[in-house]
Amino acid sequence: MLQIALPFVFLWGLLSTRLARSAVGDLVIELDRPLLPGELRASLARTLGDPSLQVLYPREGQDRWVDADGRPAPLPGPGGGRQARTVTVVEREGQPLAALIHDPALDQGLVRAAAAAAGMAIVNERLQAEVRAQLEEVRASRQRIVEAGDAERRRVERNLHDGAQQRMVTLTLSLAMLRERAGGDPAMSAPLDQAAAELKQAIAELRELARGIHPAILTEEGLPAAVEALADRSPVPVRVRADFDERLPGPIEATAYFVVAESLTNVTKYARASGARVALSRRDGHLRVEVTDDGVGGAEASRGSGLRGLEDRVAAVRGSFCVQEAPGGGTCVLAEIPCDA
Amino acid sequence: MPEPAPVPLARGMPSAVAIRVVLADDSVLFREGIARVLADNGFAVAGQAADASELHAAVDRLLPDVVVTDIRMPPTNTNEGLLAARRIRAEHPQTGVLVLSQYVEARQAVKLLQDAPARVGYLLKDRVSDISEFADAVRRIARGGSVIDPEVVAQLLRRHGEDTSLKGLTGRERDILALMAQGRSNRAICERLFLSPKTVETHVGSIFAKLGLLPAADDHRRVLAVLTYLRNA
Repeated sequence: MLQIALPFVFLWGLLSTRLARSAVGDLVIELDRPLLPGELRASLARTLGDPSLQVLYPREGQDRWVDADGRPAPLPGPGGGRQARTVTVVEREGQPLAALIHDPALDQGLVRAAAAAAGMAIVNERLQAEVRAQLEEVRASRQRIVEAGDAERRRVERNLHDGAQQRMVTLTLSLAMLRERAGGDPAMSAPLDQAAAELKQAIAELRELARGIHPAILTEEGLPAAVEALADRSPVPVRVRADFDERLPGPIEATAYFVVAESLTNVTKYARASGARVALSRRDGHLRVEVTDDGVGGAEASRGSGLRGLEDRVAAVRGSFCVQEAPGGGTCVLAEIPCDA
Repeated sequence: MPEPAPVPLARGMPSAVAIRVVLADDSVLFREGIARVLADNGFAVAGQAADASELHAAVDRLLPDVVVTDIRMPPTNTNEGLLAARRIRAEHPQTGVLVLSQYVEARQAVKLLQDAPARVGYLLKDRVSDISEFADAVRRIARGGSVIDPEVVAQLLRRHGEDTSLKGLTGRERDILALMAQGRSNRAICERLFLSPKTVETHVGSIFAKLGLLPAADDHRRVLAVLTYLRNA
């Protein structure tokens, strides 16, 4: 049961003078059922006659407060002026359970009485707020992990480009100059030719490795350009349609790029398709990525680590991902990623 | 497509007719290496630049025949070289630009050709190790031609499969198509494939007819037409 530091009799006295009995009765009855987020606040606001009333909850074991949706919300500090708010902390067994933030003109005792009447509803909503806040923390941490991974991949690609790749290209030039000097002397020219051929192969391999780690064209020119580059390399003919050309936040570009790259790899490997389409569009604050082929179909997101990995990756940037049968057979991979930028 | 014969030059002796080159790359070692190679092959290295702003200053001052520039340079280390190529070609019609890159993308090649009227090149950076090919590329650009890396062309041709699915082109026609896409003139194609000018002309006509392309007015437009066809077909 909710315990409030004020004697019940005193509260009742207050209530009988300041609130109609029926209002409290209504509140108790109104809240005696599963509530949607926000309903508790609305009921308390109506009962107390303060439409701007806020209800915040303390995080478990933390000195931070969240709203009913689990979103961080600071308690207003002490301050004057017309915007001044009063904070009434409701306690249970000596621990803060909720804070009601309300008009200073409201009677403290009256606020506490309403909170007492809301009882179990406050306890329940606090638990829900805690779960939502934890879920949000897990999501945010997953996003940070993915972003850190992307940043690291970009850094590695950049280091390869400015370091090893550049040195190796300079080295091929030195070898070529040596080779010119060696002229027709086979004792010199044969090993130099062999070294140059080896080096050329190493440069090509390193180039492919760097592309796999993080394609430079994505960093340099953005998503539509990088997807066109994928299409240019695909053994299966791919048509690309993009209804925008502007840059998007890095993690969103990278996620969308890997969705297309992995999907096109699957098209080549498994779909036995004669062609594929990639559509990139922005609508209602979302980036929509659609990869459709005309192959044999049968791909499922739950099977195959590639598609599963994509699903996780898209979820990490709060997007949705699905794999479905394309009209007329074939497979359609669809990802929608929120992007307000 | 007529082409003036290259002027023979004594090695290491830049003459009054030597092609004047400005180099741009943020690596001093690489610049020095290229400068050596070019000087050894009869070019006059007029200046060097470590980033895009130095490059523009050098070009404005020296008005070289050709600029050889890395695609990625400070300050943003993204595609300064491409932007510089576009600007130089717009501001100095007589200066050609060869863009070098650690990786090549067909899209960038096509965009460069679209943005700059001829006298442009796009090559993998390690192509410089084939000195005679590299020197040839710089000369072709100085003479008004366009140069596209064979890897770009190979990338696009791979998409069309190894068979004759490319509108029934013969193997020989495919070879000639690839050379056209690299910016080679008919004359150069003759030399490469040991064919007579007449034979090459016939093949080129046949390729254009099979692909449904209109004959191009010059080598530059021919490269663009062929690359665009390969990307979109």
